Amino acid sequence: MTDNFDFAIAGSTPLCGVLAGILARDHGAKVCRIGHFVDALLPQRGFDISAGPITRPDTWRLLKSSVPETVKLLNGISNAKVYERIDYGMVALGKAGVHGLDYIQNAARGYGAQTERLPDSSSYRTAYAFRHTVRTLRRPLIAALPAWLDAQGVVDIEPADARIRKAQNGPISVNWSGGEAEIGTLILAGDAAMLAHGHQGDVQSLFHKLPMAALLLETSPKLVTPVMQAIDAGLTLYQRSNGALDCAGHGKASELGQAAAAYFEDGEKLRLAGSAVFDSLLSRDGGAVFGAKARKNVIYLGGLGVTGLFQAPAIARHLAGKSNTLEADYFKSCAPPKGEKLKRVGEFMAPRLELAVA
Amino acid sequence: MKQPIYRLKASTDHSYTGRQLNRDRRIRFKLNGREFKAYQGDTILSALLANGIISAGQAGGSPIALSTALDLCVRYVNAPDENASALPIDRTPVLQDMDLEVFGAPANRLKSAFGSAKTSSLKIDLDQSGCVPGPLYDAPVDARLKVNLLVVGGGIAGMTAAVTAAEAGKSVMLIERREYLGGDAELFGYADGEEDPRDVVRKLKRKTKELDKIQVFTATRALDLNDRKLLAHRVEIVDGAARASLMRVSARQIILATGAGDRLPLFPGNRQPRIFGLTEAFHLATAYGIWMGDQTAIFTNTNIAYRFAGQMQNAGAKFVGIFDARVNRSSRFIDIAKAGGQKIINAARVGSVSQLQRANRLNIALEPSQSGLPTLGDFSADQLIFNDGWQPRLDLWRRAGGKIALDGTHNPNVSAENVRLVGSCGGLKGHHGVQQSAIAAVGQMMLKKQMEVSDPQIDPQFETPEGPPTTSSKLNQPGLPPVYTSNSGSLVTLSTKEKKTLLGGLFSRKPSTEIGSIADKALSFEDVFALIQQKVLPQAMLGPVLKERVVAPHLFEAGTTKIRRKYLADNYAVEVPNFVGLRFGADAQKWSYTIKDGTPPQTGVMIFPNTDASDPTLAVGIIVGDGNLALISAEFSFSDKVLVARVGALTSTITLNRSAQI
Repeated sequence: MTDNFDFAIAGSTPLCGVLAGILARDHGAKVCRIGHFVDALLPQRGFDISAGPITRPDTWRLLKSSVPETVKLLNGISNAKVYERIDYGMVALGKAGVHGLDYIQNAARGYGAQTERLPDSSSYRTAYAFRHTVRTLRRPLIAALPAWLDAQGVVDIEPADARIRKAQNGPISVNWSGGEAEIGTLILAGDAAMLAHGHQGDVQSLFHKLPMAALLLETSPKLVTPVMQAIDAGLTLYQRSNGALDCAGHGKASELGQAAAAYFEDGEKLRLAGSAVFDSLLSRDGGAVFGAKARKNVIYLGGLGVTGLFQAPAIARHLAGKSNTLEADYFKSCAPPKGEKLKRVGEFMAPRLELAVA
Repeated sequence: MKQPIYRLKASTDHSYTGRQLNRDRRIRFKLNGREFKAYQGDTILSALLANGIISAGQAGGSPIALSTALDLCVRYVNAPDENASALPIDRTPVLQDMDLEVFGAPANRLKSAFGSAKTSSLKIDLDQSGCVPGPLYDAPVDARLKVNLLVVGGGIAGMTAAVTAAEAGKSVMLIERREYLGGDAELFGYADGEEDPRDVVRKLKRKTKELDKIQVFTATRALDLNDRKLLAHRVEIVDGAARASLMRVSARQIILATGAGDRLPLFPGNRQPRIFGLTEAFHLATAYGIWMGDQTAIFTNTNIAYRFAGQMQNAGAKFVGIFDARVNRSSRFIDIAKAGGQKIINAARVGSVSQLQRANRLNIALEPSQSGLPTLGDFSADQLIFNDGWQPRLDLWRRAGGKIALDGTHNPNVSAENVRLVGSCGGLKGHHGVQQSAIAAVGQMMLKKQMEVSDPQIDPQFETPEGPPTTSSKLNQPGLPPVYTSNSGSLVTLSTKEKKTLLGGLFSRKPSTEIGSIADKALSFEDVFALIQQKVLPQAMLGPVLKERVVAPHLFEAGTTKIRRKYLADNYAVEVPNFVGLRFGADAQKWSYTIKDGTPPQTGVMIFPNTDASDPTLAVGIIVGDGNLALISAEFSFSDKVLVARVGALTSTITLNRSAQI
């Protein structure tokens, strides 16, 4: 038996790594991480951006303080550039989406975001650029995280090697080739981790399961902005610095590719370089989910949208019991309901719910 | 300067004079405006190589060899700019008076190609152009066929499978990438007691032709295999012109006999012109008599290269040396090479290769393959033929759902449904075993018979097995050309960077291999294994990267309105989406309003209870509709209520009139 862990974080996103590092570095916790980072060579399933299609002003308020804090943290992870500031484009195609987008940009401006309406295009009805938005650069960030986590004392456990045991109403332990340890709190961060390790009933009560596709498309002409998010089509286009395009959304890969091509003028054609299909979880209440269900020592962390990484310092404080009042109130509103009827709060648009398989 | 003609002389003394050629029929064709001479039976590729066009162009500032692996296409001049007009150079026969241009290279660049008659390059900017690897995949599907048994690969294994099934009364489709059947079995020779593979091939070809149940498609390349549906690209001659088409074949059972290819050794300059894999060199020499110059160097990690060198020596070729990465090895072919006076250097690998431009030659820098051995010098040669070991061609197998082991072979314990591997892609080595595996697969799939397969091998103490893949110590040394991870159109390169790590309180710099090129095209199977081998990718990523990046590079065009609307299916119908409406509570109400003062607010503007409130968390509603309605939380929803719409410093006071249906 090795030393016990205060937290085990299961998941494959950069958020998992950053969260583990903050818990260890700033809160003195003993932390292990179970999961491979999704290699940058693969089509990206999710993106880390400091703004998103967020309708709850409270979330914008949280980001106002947590984004600068996260950027400072990213500066310390590597000498290499692991993020950049970009114009982030949010577009709406349908009438309802336009209403949403108009409201979103007003709410964002209420917290200091600089937005600017983009010229009209045949590809969408309305579009705004969110200036100076931060996006992480996945490849250098993933390359830098293991050494940084190691320096913070976070133990990396090979997922194929890890067996997580959850005694009924009792402690959780992890067994791997490096030993066996008890886990104070197991954090299931992200869809893949919740699907793999979560209690099926809990996950079903909190989330819709939707098939999703992610494509990597060969180097393309420049998008109007390096990231474009069609808020009502559930489609995100993310242009890498080399011009290659990641595209993620609900539905079939072939439809997604055609939808992506529609964002380029002059009938631009896009060639496939990679393709992935996977299940995604969309919260039933329409907002972020952060908290325990029946088991106190299993925390579900999902539905954060693209800004999750930029909430990491606040999430870590909440896990360590050191939230300020605003953060505590905000995360309380994200807590899974305990038995009572789910209250829909609304945050992110839920496109194509007819595709939900559970 | 007259261009060299890289063609072996016709002779009856050996089999390397180009059996596909009719040397009595000389023909002419044009590419990018320049005229070339060829023989009837040449492909565009073989004709270009024979005429000294050995480079496709440049990538990353370095020339790239014109080869089968690049998937380069041409089209008829003035052909409609449609994807169906793309003709692959390795499978398209040269026809009299063809007038062609490179497909996919922008016109302004094409004009400059062959600016000088001396050039040996097509001068394509491979970093920018859409020449590779896509165009094959873009043609419309113009044939949909259904068969009982589909066999992919027309070597000994594939032909044996087709003949076995046809003799049992089953109908079979056999497709082969090259223009002819036979594969590479003749390259390998045979052991005592085995039949000469030339006789085996001859018999199988005859039977394949005789049996009505077998339908053969040559010059047809299998591109993709999914759910027992094969996508194949075919070149045929229709009304005296070359024509390309895609066909989709649905098969109840599929046998993959796609063989094994040359593993690309990792050294700077490994895709320079004048460098060939052993099987490609063998294919070009036997089918088209292509041989590049007088002085050849061979780098090998196997014994078969010695056999090939011996045979080519008999055909008049000269060698500057055979460099073998292995230290202690034995083979009857090595003994024969020694007896033939070949210069053999042991424990040597290629450090780097660069072009000696003026001399039309290569400079090959050798280095010891193991540490502690003395340094080795440079060699100059007209061409370098490598054989760093064999890589089973398993792309289709993987796409069909078959599993792959970490050493790049298939996992025999996990089969793809209704798909079987036979021959060397299934790990068989001797042609006896290869044939048995094909017969067994047909028996098992179609006749429900089980059969043991034996693949007798010569004792390793007499025939040393192939060595581990080699990697130069000079990956991306400044001034050296790029290191590619495969021979494919993905053009992935490796580079080395110094990584700073903290050790014992001190920073140390340690070289670390990374992906050097942009790697944004579909990857090949070989790319992935090279990246794993170099620890650029962790082993755990093998499965995901094979699954998600070794894909058919299909093209997407902008979706139809129908597709785009489908994405909005449940959003077109509503005015206020839930993710906004719920923000003000499930019981929020919609109201008409009048403006008391200020400018008319636009949709999305937040509504506050009074002029003091500006924090968005205090908003009680928003302007919706076309700007003429307000969605208000239930707490503030009553007639004549005065509220404030605000954007920044701009405010307008509104009075609610009457509620409306949401």
